[in-house]
Amino acid sequence: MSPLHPITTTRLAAALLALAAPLALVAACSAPNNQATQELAGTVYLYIGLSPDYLANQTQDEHIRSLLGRFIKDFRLIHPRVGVQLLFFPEEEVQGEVTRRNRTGLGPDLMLVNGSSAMAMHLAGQTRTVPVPEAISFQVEPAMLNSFRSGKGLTALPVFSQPQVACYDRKQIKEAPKTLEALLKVSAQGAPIGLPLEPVDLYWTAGGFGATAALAHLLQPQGASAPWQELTPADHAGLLRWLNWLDQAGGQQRVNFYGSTDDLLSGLEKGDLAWIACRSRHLVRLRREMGSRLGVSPLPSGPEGTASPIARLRVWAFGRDSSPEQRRISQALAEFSVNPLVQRAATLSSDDALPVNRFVDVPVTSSRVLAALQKGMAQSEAYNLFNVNLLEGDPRESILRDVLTSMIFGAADGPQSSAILIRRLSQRP
Amino acid sequence: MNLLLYEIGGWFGYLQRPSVVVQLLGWLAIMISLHLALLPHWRRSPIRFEALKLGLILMWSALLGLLGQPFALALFFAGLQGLWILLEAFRVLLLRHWEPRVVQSVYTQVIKPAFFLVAALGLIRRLDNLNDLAVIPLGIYFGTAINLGQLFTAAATLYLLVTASGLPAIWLAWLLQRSLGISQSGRRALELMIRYMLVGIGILLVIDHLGIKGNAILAIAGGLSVGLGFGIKEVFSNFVSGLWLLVEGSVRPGEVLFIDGDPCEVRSLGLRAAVLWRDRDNAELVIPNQTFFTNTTTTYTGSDSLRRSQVLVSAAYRHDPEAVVELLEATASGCTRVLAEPAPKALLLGYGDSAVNYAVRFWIANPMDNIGICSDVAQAIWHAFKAKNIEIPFPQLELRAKPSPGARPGPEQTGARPPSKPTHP
Repeated sequence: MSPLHPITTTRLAAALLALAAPLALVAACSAPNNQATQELAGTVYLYIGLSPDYLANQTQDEHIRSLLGRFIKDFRLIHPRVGVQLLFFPEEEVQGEVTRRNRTGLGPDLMLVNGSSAMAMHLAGQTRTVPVPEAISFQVEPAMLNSFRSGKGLTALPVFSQPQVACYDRKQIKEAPKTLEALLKVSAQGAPIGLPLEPVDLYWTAGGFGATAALAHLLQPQGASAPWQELTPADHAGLLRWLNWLDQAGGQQRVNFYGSTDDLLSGLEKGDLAWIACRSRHLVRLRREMGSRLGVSPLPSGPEGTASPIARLRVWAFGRDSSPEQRRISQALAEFSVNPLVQRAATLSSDDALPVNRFVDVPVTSSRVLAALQKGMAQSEAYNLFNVNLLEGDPRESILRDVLTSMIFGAADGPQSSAILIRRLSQRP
Repeated sequence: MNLLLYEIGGWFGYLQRPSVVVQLLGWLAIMISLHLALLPHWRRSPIRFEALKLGLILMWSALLGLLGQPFALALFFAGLQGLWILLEAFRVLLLRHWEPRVVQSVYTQVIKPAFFLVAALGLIRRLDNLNDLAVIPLGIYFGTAINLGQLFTAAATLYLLVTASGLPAIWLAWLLQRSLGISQSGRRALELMIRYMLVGIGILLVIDHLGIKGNAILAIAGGLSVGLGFGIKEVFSNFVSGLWLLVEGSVRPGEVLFIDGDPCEVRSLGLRAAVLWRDRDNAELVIPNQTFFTNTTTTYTGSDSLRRSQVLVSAAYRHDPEAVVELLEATASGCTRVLAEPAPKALLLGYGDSAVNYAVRFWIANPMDNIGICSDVAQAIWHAFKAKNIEIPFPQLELRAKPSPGARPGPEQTGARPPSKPTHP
């Protein structure tokens, strides 16, 4: 062992200087903003959750980037000293990414995600509640805010909604079917129909058969305090009617079910399908590929009621790692997005989503697409379906998917599937 | 490009967060203060010094964790530190089995760049989204839009091919040598050609990956041809000459060439020039490939590596030439590094002013050993002549001055050196 060397004054001074240099740099970078002027300054990190079909398609990807770019540009006109870093992730990876980054302190300041993802992240303690001023929250549709209220604040702020509608090929179908019965008739006459296999996207068919009450009961949130109650005979009957119809549709020669949204959209683009159930966010892609061939209409009703589509709400969720200044900027950015002018401009320029600000008039008379979207939204509102019953990654969603898939591919009939569904979903986790 | 700079500038926004600053400061404090001031005696053992840093960073991470603060960034730096220690330990291990030159080359060309790449990507992965960065457009080149991801992949592929293709090339060349029975220098040539081929394929793959169109490549080729005509003619000429020489096999690594009167061994044949080693003064000669292509080259390793060498010697007139010739041949045969077959041959070359001139010619296996073997043979002849009392006479010159008319006759004038009795040196 060599003898210890005394630390010389020069060396000690050099070490202190070396320590002071990064300290000074960091202090300069993180210097508090001029609070007196209230001028926002700094960089915020904005995560965007995108569906896999968005990431797979360049048109949609470019569209969302361009929309966000325009929005941030407008925001920076008011707050020029603010920088916004955009990070895009597949929707199902956002939560994992936030968990990982929160451990480093490099988590997001703001996230634009589905309402269900925001709720899941809030339950996991990854987002914070924000005290949104009454003047702002008052403008948002109350039904959309209900799921995100927490004390005096909001766990997330809705920014726009993406209703589910019917997209069809005007060359193959002159007029969109208004009822589910008419839909099967169109199919029997030779027009191929495409339906999604995902429970969230197939849920719209339940409303027409009066099955939504049964499903809502079975898919109650996991933390529901109310004790489990058996389904009523009416709920049983509604559930059975719905499953029987799906079973019957699955047996039709020209009704096909697709596990991948991308396949469903490609089928319509190529003319292999004449009618599909689609989401408003797919309209940009379909419009670019199909041009005037694309027709958009509300989803068909059934014998027991209107369609029950689950509208996707896109919301701002607020990260936990932000500095005080970043929190101010994030909140200002989120509040700016629900401004009526911004909402109206975004709706008119994108034509594929609806505003959440109830004081924005959607020009339904001048746009048949927006009229269809508005109708789709009204259908969701009638059932209070804002994408909140099925949380991201909820095991009950996969149970529902398994049962429906087995039935559609002939492994079980309607009554059998109904029994299995009730048995499996009634086992509370 | 502006977008890329904007993204990079945005990373500094994390410094607004105290939790990030605390982690960074701790790490910086440990790294800088240890390097500059504290415990200089620890630095004598690099691995121990690095391990000390790792321990302190881990302790810092643990402390932050206990305080309920984010700590994974500090832990990431600890991970990099740990990896660095592992690589250092691995280097020490390699030095026991490999030549230091090879280990140094592998470390500087492959392992260290790979480490820094992993560290940089790991850090960027935490600060940003690599997929988003990859799609940042850099511009349109040759009619193709190039983004950052494509450029990075292309550069990394080319670098990897240029630096890491050596080992597969050596292995393939060895395999071909074993199966086809080619020579050692042929194997080295094959190595080079396989490397060029791998790099060539890599360039084609990169062009394909970037999506550069055929007509753009033709445009590049057109531009290059003009460039070749003026500026880089010599470079291209040297490159083509190098390839041709490899195929032809006249200048390959391991060959022995005669350069300016000295035998030199070819060490490497590069894209522009060949590097030759001269035994006489341990010099390395860098000679443009074109030189070998246009000038006459003398090689000792063309069809075989044998060299015929000779030593010149003189003997006094009084000795029987047959005996001298016989003695010279026997002496040369007795030298260990002189080949027995073809047998050494002595010759009487002519009659000189002071002595009869002989030459003994013999064959050697390694052309680079010529000077040393000639010296051995010359020494052996000296000893053999001494033993047989054969004289190696000094040159003798007798000058006679013609007496001028009317001059008094004087004593005879001789040369600068008075005649002396010849003796052995």
